[in-house]
Parts: sequence; structure tokens; C-alpha cells
Amino acid sequence: MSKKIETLFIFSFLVLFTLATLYPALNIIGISLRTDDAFQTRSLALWTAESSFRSYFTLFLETDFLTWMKNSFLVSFVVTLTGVVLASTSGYALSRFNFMGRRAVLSSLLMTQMFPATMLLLPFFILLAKLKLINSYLGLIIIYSSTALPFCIWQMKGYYDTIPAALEEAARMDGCSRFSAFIKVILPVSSPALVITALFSFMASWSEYVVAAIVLQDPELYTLPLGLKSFQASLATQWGLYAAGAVVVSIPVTILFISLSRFLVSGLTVGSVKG
Amino acid sequence: MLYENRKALREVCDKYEDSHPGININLIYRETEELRSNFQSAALGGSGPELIYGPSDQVGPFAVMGIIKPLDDLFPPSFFNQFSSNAVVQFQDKTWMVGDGVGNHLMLMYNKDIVSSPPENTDEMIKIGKSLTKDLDDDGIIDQYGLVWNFTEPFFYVPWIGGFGEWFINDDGSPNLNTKSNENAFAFIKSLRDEHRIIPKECDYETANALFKTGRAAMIINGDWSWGDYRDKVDFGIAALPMVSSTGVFPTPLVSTKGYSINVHTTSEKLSHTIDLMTYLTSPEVQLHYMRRLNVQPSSLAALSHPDVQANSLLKQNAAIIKKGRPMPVVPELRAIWDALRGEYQSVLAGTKDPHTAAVESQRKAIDQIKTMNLVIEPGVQGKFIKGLLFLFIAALGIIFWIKKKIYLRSFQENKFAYLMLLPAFLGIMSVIIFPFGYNLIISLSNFSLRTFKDWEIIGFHHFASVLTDGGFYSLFGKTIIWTVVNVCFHVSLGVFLAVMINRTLPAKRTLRTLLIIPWALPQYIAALTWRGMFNQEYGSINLILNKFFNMSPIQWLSQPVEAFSACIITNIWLGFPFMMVVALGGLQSIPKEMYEASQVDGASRWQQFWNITLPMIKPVMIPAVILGTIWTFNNINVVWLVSNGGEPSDLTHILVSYVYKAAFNLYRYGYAAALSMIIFLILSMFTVSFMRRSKLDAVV
Amino acid sequence: MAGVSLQAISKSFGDNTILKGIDVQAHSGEFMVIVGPSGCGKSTLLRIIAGLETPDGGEVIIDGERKNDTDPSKREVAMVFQNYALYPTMTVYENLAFSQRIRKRSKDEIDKRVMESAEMLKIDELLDRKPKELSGGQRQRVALGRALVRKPKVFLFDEPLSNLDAKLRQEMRLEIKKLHTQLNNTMIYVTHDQTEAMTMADRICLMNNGIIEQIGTPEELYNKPANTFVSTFIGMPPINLIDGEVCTENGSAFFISDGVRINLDKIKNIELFKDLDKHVIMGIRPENLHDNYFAEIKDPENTIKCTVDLVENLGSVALVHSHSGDAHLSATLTTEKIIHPGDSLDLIVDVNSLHFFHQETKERIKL
Repeated sequence: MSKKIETLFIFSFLVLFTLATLYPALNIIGISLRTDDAFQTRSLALWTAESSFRSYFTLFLETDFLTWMKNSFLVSFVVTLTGVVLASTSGYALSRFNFMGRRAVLSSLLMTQMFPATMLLLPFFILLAKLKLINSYLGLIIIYSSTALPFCIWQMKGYYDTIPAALEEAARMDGCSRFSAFIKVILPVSSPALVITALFSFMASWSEYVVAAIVLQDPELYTLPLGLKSFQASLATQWGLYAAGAVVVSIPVTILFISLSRFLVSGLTVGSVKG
Repeated sequence: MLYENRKALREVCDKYEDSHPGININLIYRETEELRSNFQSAALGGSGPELIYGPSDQVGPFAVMGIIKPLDDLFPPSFFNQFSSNAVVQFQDKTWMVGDGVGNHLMLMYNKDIVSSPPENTDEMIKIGKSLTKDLDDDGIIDQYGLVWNFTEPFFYVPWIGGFGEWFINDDGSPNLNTKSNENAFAFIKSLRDEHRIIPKECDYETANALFKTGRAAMIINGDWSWGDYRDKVDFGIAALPMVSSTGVFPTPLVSTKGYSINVHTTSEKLSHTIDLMTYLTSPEVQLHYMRRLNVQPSSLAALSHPDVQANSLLKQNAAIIKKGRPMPVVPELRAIWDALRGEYQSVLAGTKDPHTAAVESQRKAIDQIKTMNLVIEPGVQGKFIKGLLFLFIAALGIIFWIKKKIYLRSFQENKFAYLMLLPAFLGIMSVIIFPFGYNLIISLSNFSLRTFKDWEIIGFHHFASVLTDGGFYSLFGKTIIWTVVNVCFHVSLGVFLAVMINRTLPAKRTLRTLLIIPWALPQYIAALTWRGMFNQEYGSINLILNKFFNMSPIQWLSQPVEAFSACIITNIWLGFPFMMVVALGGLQSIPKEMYEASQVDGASRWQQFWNITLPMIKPVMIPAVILGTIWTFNNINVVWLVSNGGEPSDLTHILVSYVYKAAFNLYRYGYAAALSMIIFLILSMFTVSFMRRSKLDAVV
Repeated sequence: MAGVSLQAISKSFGDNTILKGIDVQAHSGEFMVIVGPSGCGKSTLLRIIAGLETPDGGEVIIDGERKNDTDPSKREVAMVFQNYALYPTMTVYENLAFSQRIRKRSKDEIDKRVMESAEMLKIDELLDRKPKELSGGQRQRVALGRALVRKPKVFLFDEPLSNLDAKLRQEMRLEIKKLHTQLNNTMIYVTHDQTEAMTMADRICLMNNGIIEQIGTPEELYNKPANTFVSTFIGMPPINLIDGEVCTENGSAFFISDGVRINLDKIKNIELFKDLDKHVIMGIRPENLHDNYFAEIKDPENTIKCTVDLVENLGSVALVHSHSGDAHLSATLTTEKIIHPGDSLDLIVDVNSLHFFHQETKERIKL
């Protein structure tokens, strides 16, 4: 009996905590349903008499939101694909082979996380300008895939470390080359980690603003964060539109996270240290 | 630039494109601050748009950096003569920009439904303000304000310095902040808020704007750009800022122009097209279009004398207000003055400094900052030495490689497969991280700054020395440590706690887990801005909830240093705990149930189980996550920058990385910022290595 | 059918030398067991045959061809791993068919081969399951099946039974042995368990510390252990080794140590007596010690008077640990007489089954 009461207690605590956690997210939805002028209100209600979906109509019908969305999907898709391919192969090399420079590579991957990203912008720009990649998705994709890579490689390496080497040895005995053993046997087993890697690569590109702002100049090419930011003017932000945009931008990532949350728990192996 | 203005610009550009087949005008929109930093980067990379449209105060920095062209040789003198003088922006005896309108100045706007006639002087303004600041429904909360404006920003403040007699900047561009007028103006604004209580305690631009638009403020101090927005919502009148009663002088708003400059990289055929386009965009025809559509005060003399302009009563009144103003200075030093003034002014408002000290301090800081901004360290012996050293280093690397090439080659052949698998990722990371890192290393040893934008040289360790000898660095470092430690502690403890709770057999366990991950899923900048809104003193949900359920008086989250820093931390805790929770959940799954059963048989309590089984078992997964979390938190600029609006109040909420951003992009001190980045990098490397050693984790690598 | 021949194989990892010049041949169709304590290098040796490790020196010859530089995928060798290494994402059928798909065999052919092996191993009911839905024994069968489908020249087993419980292990032992009789392939089987080695092997290769201690049939290893290591490793319960010396008294030869005195006159071998008055190690297996109480022919000369320390009842027999002087002796005795710790016990030594080893070299003294 006491156990039941305890469970009930913990359960209600968690429900309350979850609601509190969700409040800011709901708050954006609330703002998106208000008019610009009702932005400052003392009401805590998310839905008021004045609420409407007007901002959403404006967003989709009167702005280039759909184009931005299409662009963002395109960029994120390619980045995700590249990220997964590169992280899965190099993570594998780092997990399975004891080659010269392996330790150096692993440490420098961690080191890359330590340098303030702001200061990388200027050199990025100079590099892209030299390569004539300004205002092209290629430049953006290279930067996005590479910046997400160090973490993803660590992540993949951590996961491979948990897979017994006998598995690909068995495959090689069965007639696979090293590469086909990797593709046919190891990759399918690593799907939880691949999903996580994909998710992180996707996130890295989906909501990135700063780099996109220096690389993309043609409004036709804008990605969602850039478009969203254009609703924000220093002295006259269209808050309703902005919030509606923010909600729509957040939906795909949130859905992805929710649907993949079970992989998150099993596949996130930043920490998995091989004993 | 307002949305409507952007549309109007597109319209005139379309028209131009129609009459000039083969020419395509690409409009790139950037927010003022980003316009500046992005154009700087672009120009340094040798590209960027041909024409730059923006406020006149960016002319100074751009001209000094040499990234825009002087216009004197490109246009005939007659061209410049057709504009009113404040639209032709000159700096150091050259013309750099031509404006397509004049204005951007502050004025008093009043809601005609509430105020019948605008106040003539400040006494009257206070009187009207008091009578109109009301609690309509007697709930102890004010529902209507007499006056609102974005009073914490220097731009919205300096007109009052003029009203008290003196001006904040001398003609030679040096600051003039240690004045009685500045002190009086400080005290005046403070008294409006604290003594007369006719303005809200915290009021940023958005709040002021929204209050006025919804009829919850009688008067607002705002610029001509807002007319279009108010036109359909409020029946408003405009007037000059009311005369300061004690001096009998009118406040002097800054009048500027927004106009066009030409990128220094524009050449040959493109240049002639650009000149033609610029001529068109500043022509009376276009200006009249703007006037009709957006009520912009034209800069073209021809347009000004057009009957439509003459007949426009708003513009007529406006012209009178403009006369009371003073031109916006274009010297690059202005930024340093703004910066020094903003900090001290916000300290006065927060009540941490008295007006006199603040005036003295702001003058000193402004002079200091101008000095550092303009400082050009000439490369001396040390510079040559470092250059030599760099060269030797690269040569040594080459030689070592040459000597050991056999070993490298053998290793390569043995593990060809591994190297090939690694290669693409290596190239990507190399170009995107290693190259910029090397670039920064060199910049950190150079005198790269505003005045040496295009011809910087290696000077040595000066920046490192100046970072390490500056007391400010240590206080920033201290704050960064507090920021990191508090955040990571909360992330981990909250994450582990929730994970342990969720891991029990609970109804709807999966749903709870999924919902708790959402803060992680939301894009950071959206979350940060939302939280900023929630921290608003009067309208933010946090204070509303605290008041409603806990009966607490509102906390000034964003204008007091400690509160503002806490606000940033709270936001970041919210953003970061799900990651740790997920990692901890993963760790918990690997604990066999038997261990708990065994300890239960041994009579261990829940708490003992947690300490003796759960924690040690999840430690191996948590430690790398903690290391990563620490690094990420240490370097997380988004939250601090967005929640505190770039370090407000008074630059007291900066952590190291946000200060790097400020130094590089606001103060143009690239070399210094790069050195600071290198130091951050070293600090984090040392932390990681020692932490890994201590937890015996270097075996992982 | 193909033999495997290893010549002067050496291998080290860093400073750690694992194999120090191994020469061994598995003849065509032979069931060879490589046995030894953990860390002796036996698994590395197997992996070298498989091609998963490259030897630092020496030759790997399979079916008469040098295979040192041949990729494992091309060696026509199949291997069964200790932890089965089944592909977790594939069904049992797919696991079995995998190697055939890689070789792009026709669907019918694959089907035929898979069904054949599955029936042979009685796993045809399980073909649609995933490995994690199988019991340990079933997984082991699938792992065997995967090798079987290949119809390889040589089968390699790397401690395949060590993850199974005792009963299953015995069952699978028979199963594998039966497979060998059916297929008559060359099989090389690595284990640390001497029982497996003794029961399954045509020949045993006993390794220790990177060298081969002895190669021979199980009987040879049991009856004529080349040194003390082999004698202790083979045989369960392990042999009793007693330090002592050989000397003559009144024209008779004796082995004498503290508490043990044995007349060696029945041994007609001169070799032993070369070492007269020298220290030797005498080995006597527990099964060669008998309780004087039941002996039909008493032999007081070779009876050791012991005190019982501990009795382990194994059902049909009991393992009695006892001592006499400094010498510890364990003996397998019938359980007809109940023996308690502390009892005194007279053990008769079967002199013909004694082993002698040099004290210094630990080598067998040929009798």
C-alpha cells in the first residue's frame, strides 16, 4: 500500500514538473495565436478571446515561409546524409583500428568543441569566399556537416565499441570484404546510433542561424531561421508572425525527437566507456 | 528595416528592373548590427553586395576599414548638391554615403484619445504623465502609463543630455560625458521612473511599442519609423520632445539619414551599373514614392519642394522637430561612447551608482575604449621573432615528417582501410575547424583591429599579455566559472534525479520521458527569446505566476545584474537538463536488477542504494557527458547573449565567450578577441585533461 | 578434404610475444583439438589460420597452398565463435544464407543448402526467428549451421561450448563429434577444457605460454605426458605430483620422499636409475590409487599410510584428499566404505602406472 502511495506521489510530482517544463513551449504557441499588439499582456491564459490563427495564415500565404521550409529541408537532408555517412565510417575506423595518429585524432575531435564558435566565422567566410562557395548550399552544407561531425564521430565510435568484433570477423569468414562486412553487418546493428547521429546532424543544420546569415545572401536561398529572423526588425518585430514561425520551425525537430526518444536512451553513447 | 519599408524598396527596384532589362537587383536584408558584422566579413573575403544601404553611423567604421568607396570621384558635384546637407554623409573630408531620406529622430507621440495636447515642457509632461498613469481596475497593478519608451538605450537617452545644455560628443569625435548635463539627465530619467512613476520599471522597445499601440500608454518617445505601424491603430499626434523646464532648452534628438554606400570591391562594368542604380534610388521620384507610402521625409531638395510634401502636415511638423535635432555623428568612436554610456547609465537606473560617479566613469571608460579601439601596435622585434618562430615551426614539422615518412608510410599501408574511412571526415573537419583555428592563432598574434583591417601584421603576444593583466578578465572568468558550475550541477542533478524517478514503474512513463525531452528539441534561439519575454518585469509569465500563486512582488529580472544573470542561468538549466537525463537513463538501463535485490536483502535503504549502486554504476556514462556538457556550457553564447540582450545591464552578465563576440564585432578588436579565444581554448583543454586524468578516463581515447 | 599445416608461426602484440614458433599439422579429415590454459596463444593461433590475424613469421598452409596473404573471405575456412557472433538483425535463415548470398548463389541453391544444414542440426523450426529469441543451445546450433552451409575445407571452432551449461555442453560435444564423423572434414577445435579435448579429439595439441607442450592422441597425452605440465593439465581429477628421490636399499630400488616410500623393483627400466640419488618428481593419478581394504592382492611394500583431510562424494566414486608426511595425495575410491576426515587410510600404489619427471627440466623420464 505504501508503495502505491509513493508511486502516486512521485507520479504527481513528475506530472507537475513536466507541465512546468512545457510551459515556455506552450507560451510561444500562445503568443503565436495573439495579435502583434497583444504581445504584452498580463493574462497567463494561452488562448484568449482575441486569439486566432491569423498569424499562421499570414505566415503561409503572404510570406515565403514555404520556400524557406523547402530550402531548410533540402539543406538539412543533405547535411544529415553526409553527417551519417562520414560519422559512421570514421567512427568505425577509430573504434576498430589501432593506427598511428588515432589518439591524436580522438583528442583533437574533443578539442574542436572547445574553441569559441564565434571566432570561427571570419575564417569560414574567407575560406568560402576563396572557394567561391558564398551564397551556395554547398558551402553551407560543408560547414554544417563538419561542425556536427566531431560529436557524431565520438558518438558512433562509442557505439561501435559496444559491438563485439567477432561480428564482423564472422562476416569476413563468411566471405565479406572489410568494407562489405561494415556495410552489411555492422551498420544494420548500429541503427540506434545512426539514428542519433542523423538527429544531431539534422538539428545542427535545421535551426542554425549565424553561419547561414553569412553564407546565404539570396533570399531565394534562405533557410527557415534566416526567414524567421527577417520578421524581427530591431525596432519593429512582427511578434505574432515570429512566434508562429518559431512554432512551425520547432515542430519537425520536436516530432523527430519524440519519435526517436526511445533510440536516444539506447543509442546515445557519448559516455559508453569500454570496460 | 521595417517590413513595409522592405516592400517599398522592392517595389522601386522592380520598377528599375523593368526599365533596365538584363539587370537583376538582389536585395539582401540584414538587421543593423548584422549588416555591419556581415559586411565586414564579406568585404574582408573580397565579396559582398555592391550597394550597402544603412544608417549613417556605420560610415565611420566602414570608411576607416577601407571597405567602402569614397563617392566624390564617382558622381559629379552637381549630384551631391541636389540633397539637403544632412543627407550627404561626409567623414574625413570625403563623401561616403548619400541618403534617400532624413529623419530617424526621436519625438514625442501621443494618443489623441487620451491626451488632448502634447506637453510643452517636462514639468507639464510629468503632470500629464502622473494623471494618466492609472490602475484602472484597482488590483494594485498599473494598467495605463503616462509615458513609455525604450529609455535604457543610449540612443533614446542622449537627446536629454542636450536638453540639459551640453552635448555628449565634441566636434572632434571625443566624448563629452563628464558634464553636469549628463548628470542631470541621468537623474531626470531616474526620477521619471522612481519618483514620478510615469514610466514602467522595465520597458524595452517591444514593451513600449505594444503598450502604446494598444492604448495602454498615453505618450511614447519613438522615431519616425514607427508611424506606419501606428497609423491604423492609434490616432496619434507628434511633437518635439518637451523642453526641459529647468533649463528652458529643448532636447536634441539625433537626426540621421539612411543611405547608400558602395562596396570597395565594386569595379568596372558593375560599378557603372551601381552608380546608375544609386542615382535612381536617391532620385526625387523614388523619394516621393517613399514619402507617399511611408511618410519618409525626403532628402532631395526637389522632392522637398514638391507640392505633395508641402501639403503633408505630418511632414511639416516633422521638419520643425528635425530642426531641434543634431546630426548623428559618424565617427567610429561613437560605438565606444555608446558602449561606455550604456553601461554607466544602466548602473544609474539599477541604483548601483549615483549620477555623478556615473558621469565621471562613463567619460573615463569612453576615452579608454576609444584608445584601445584605435590602438595600433606596430610590429616590433617580437613580431619578427614570432614570425621567424612560426616559420621554423612549420619547417620543423616538414622535416620531422620527411624523416619519419617511412614509418608513416608503413602505418598507412597497414591500416589503409582505416585511413580511407577517416579521410572524408578529416578533410571536412580540417577545412571547417582546423583551418579557422590556425587562422585565429595567427590573428591572435597580430594587430588586427579597426584601423588595420586590411593590412594587419604579426606583433607577438601583446594581446595575450593585455588579456591576462586585465582585472576584467578575471572577473569575467569568475562569472564564467559560476555560470558553468551552477549550470552543469543543475543539469546533472536534475537529469539524474528525473531519470531515477522515471525509471521506476510508473504509469505513462514513456510519455513523461518524451515530454521532458522537449526543451532539448526546441531551437535554442527561439527558446532563449521566449524566456526573455517570460522574464519581463510586468508582463512576463514568471513574475505573473510568482505574484499570483506566491504573492511575491515582481522581480526586476532583466535590469539588475544578479537577477539578469540568474535569468540566463535558469534558461540554460531548462535547456540543458534533458540531455543529462537521457544519458542517465541510458546508464540506468545497464544496471542489473539483481544488484538492487541483493542490496535490499542486505537491508540497504533507498538512499544507500542510490549512493552505493546507482551513482557508481552510472558514473562511467555520466563523466564524458559532464565533460562535454561543461565545454558546451562554458562556450554557450546564445543563451547569455539573447536573454541578457548582449550583456545587459551594464555588460555585467557577460561570460567569456559573449565578451569575445562583443570585442570582435562591436569593438572591432579582432586580434584581442582571437587571443581571448585561444585562452578559453587553453583553459578548457587543461580542464578536460585534468578531469579525465582524475577520473582515469584517458583510457577512453 | 584438406589439411592445415602451420610452420614456425610467431606472433607478438607490442612487447607481448604470444606465439613462439609453432609447428603443427592437422591432417586431412582429422579432428584436432588445440587445448591450453587461457592466454596460452591457442585462440591467436586459430585466428591466424582463419586469416583474422597476420603472423609475424612462419607459413600458413591450407590444402597445400600458402595462404599467409589470403583474405579470410577467400580461405574457404569456416569458423564458429565463442559468443556465436550471430548477426542480430537477421533471422536464422538469413544468418545461414548470408555467406551464400555474398557468393551470389542462386536462390534454390541457397535454399537447398540452408535446409540441409538446418535439418542436420534440427533447427529447421527456428528459421524465422531472430537470434535474441533463441536459447543459448539454439544459438550454438545456428552458429554451427552457419559454418556448415559453407561446406568449407576446414572448420575452426573457438571455444564454442564455453558459454553453455554443463548438460548442454555434453550434448553439443556429441553433436559436433557426430558431425565430424558424418562430414569427415578437417576440424580444428580450440578449448581450455581438457574433457572436451579428451573426448573429442583425434589428436590433441597442448599449448602453454606460446609454445606447444605436446601433440598426440588423447591416449598418448594421458599415458605418456611429455612433462609435468601436460600430466597435470590432462586428466581429471589432476595427477598427484610428489618430489622425492630414487635410491637403492639392499639391492632394491625405492622412491623416497617424506611420508612416501615405494618399491620400484617392478619397473624394469634402467633409464630411471641413471638418476639414482637424484631428485625426481613422481606422478600418480588419483584413479591409480586404491584402498588397501578392498585390494585382492595386498602389497605392503607399496602401501602409503595416509590421513584423510577431505572427502568429495562424486556419486559412484569419492575423491579422497589425504596426506602422508609432506605428500598430498588425492585418490578416487569407491564409496562402498564411508570415509571421514581424520580417518587413517592405506592406499596401494599401482606401480605400473607411475610417471617420473626430471626435477629440473620437468621432462618425462621414459620408462
